[in-house]
Amino acid sequence: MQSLAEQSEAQTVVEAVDKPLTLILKERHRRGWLIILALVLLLLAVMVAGVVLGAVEVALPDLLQALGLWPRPKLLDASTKAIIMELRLPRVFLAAMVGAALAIGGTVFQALFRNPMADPYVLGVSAGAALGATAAFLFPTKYLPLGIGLVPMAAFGGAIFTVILVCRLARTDGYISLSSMLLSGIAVGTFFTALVSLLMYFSRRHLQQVVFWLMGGFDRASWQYVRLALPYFVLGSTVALVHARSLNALLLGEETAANLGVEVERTKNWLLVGASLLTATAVAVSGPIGFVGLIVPHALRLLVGPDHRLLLPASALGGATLMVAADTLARTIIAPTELPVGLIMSLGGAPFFISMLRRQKRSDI
Amino acid sequence: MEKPLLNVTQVSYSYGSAPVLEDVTFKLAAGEMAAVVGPNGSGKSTLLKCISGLLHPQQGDITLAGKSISGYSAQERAKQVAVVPQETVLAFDFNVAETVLMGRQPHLRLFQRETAADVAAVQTAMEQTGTRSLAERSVSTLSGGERQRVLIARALAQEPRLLLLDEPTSQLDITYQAEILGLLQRLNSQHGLTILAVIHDLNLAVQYFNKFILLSQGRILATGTAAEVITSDNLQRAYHSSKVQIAVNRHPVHHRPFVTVFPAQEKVPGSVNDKREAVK
Repeated sequence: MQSLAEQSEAQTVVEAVDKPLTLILKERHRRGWLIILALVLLLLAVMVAGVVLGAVEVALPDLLQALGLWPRPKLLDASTKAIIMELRLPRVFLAAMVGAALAIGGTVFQALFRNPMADPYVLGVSAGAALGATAAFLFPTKYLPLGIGLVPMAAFGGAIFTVILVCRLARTDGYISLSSMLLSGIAVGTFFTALVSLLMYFSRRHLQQVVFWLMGGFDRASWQYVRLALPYFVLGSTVALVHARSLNALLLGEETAANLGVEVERTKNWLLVGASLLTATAVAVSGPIGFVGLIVPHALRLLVGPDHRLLLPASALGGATLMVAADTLARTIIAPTELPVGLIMSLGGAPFFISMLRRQKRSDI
Repeated sequence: MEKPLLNVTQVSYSYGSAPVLEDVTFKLAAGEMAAVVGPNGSGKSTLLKCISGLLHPQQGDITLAGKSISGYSAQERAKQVAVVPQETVLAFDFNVAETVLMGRQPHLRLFQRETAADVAAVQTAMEQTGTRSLAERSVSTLSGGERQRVLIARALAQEPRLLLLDEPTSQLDITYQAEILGLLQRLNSQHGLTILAVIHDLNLAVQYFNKFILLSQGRILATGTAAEVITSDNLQRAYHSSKVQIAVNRHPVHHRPFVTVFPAQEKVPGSVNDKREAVK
């Protein structure tokens, strides 16, 4: 085994002398784009499965007809059409968006903190969102902002408030220190989680609602949710993609990045805002769903390599695919009852993650 | 003398209330190869960080090619000055070619893909540093000497006018030390690259550098050639310690100054020891 590896290494060194540099540089890129293309197809397949499968099965032709892709003389019955258009499609889109958002958030935070343990909730965003949501459950109003209820709004507000607080705590003399940010995130997160427990303790009437929200899920998905989350998703993803090459430089440390011409403070601020926005939006519409933002960047880094120009789009697609698949499983595994998707994700994700880490020969990142 | 490439004028820097650099003034002409020497904590690395724009001195001015360093954007600065840092994380799975290509970062606009010109610059940098055959290797598998050459290649790919190095040889064994410093000397003499490096090993430095800047407690004690700067008087003042005594002799082979350090209680032949006795 060992000698084989040594042999192949020796071979590549000999070949490298003749191999044009352009080829070496393009090779991984070409492979990366092929993987991205495959992920696009996979995501489409999973999304179709997500619409077709469920407590009520939908035939594929019905889906195509509902989407206006297959004009058939037969009229589609109203309830099937409603299931496709009002229940399944918005749910699949929302799950894909949340999965992509969490995966991008995780990728950005792992690179920024140069820490493989970082996930989208590293700054205490989920605890802040939970506090907002719990408060909204405890003090329900008749007021339904934007037609989606108070809970997502309160969760979003709680998440954004937490990020601002953590950044303030970590800022000295106008500079954000990433390591003190990591610590502030943990401290603030722990504090807010304690506040959530306190609220729950004194208001057991809402206990079940809060617990279910904390498990995360898409059972309330609607086009309204999709419409509200989409602008933030687009904004956050664009910010991340624009800074993809700077993220590569930041992997080498802040000083090296600055020496390579990256405006480090400005870039860091933009990335923190973008990734936080993505995470806050995801938590607001689905509750905190763990593991996606941790596993997906890891797995895709093994596949496409550390270049963020490839890793970010690949992670986004991988996260979306995984989330839609997990949600479909959550809906169908003990249909007509639903499991919380967060539960499925952790149950399936943790063993997968462990096996992946064991197979990974050397630790990159 | 023609207009200097680097002009450091009365620079002072302090971390909080602790002064690290005080009233530092020196010039570096294009094509010079200078070593910054001095004891630990004398402000050598801080000086380098001020020149590379990472730190902003509270007083004084640093100009590069006639323009104040604080007037450059990070990107413009990175086209003029490249830095080989003391410690770098290279734990990620980038290969050597990709790592050197990162040196092209300051030459690229947002979303711009690397062009043939960028690849050519990478090719040149790799050939100059002898890292071309390592192109496909992952940076995490390199030896210390290979790693240092790759970092120098990345800096060269920036196509800078001034190359700054912070203790480029401190982690290397003697053959790699000679190899790296020989490489710097070639880049200086054959390609006209201006070099400013922090070096701890004085005996190594005198073999390769033709200009010396001796720092002590944040101040410049002496500047000039090896013979002018590396004297027992200067060193005794710079490294003033009661625990050691420093003797400077002529090296039998290259006839440049040769520094020997002894524990204070040992009887040492030479001027330094005599002077110490006289003081007592």
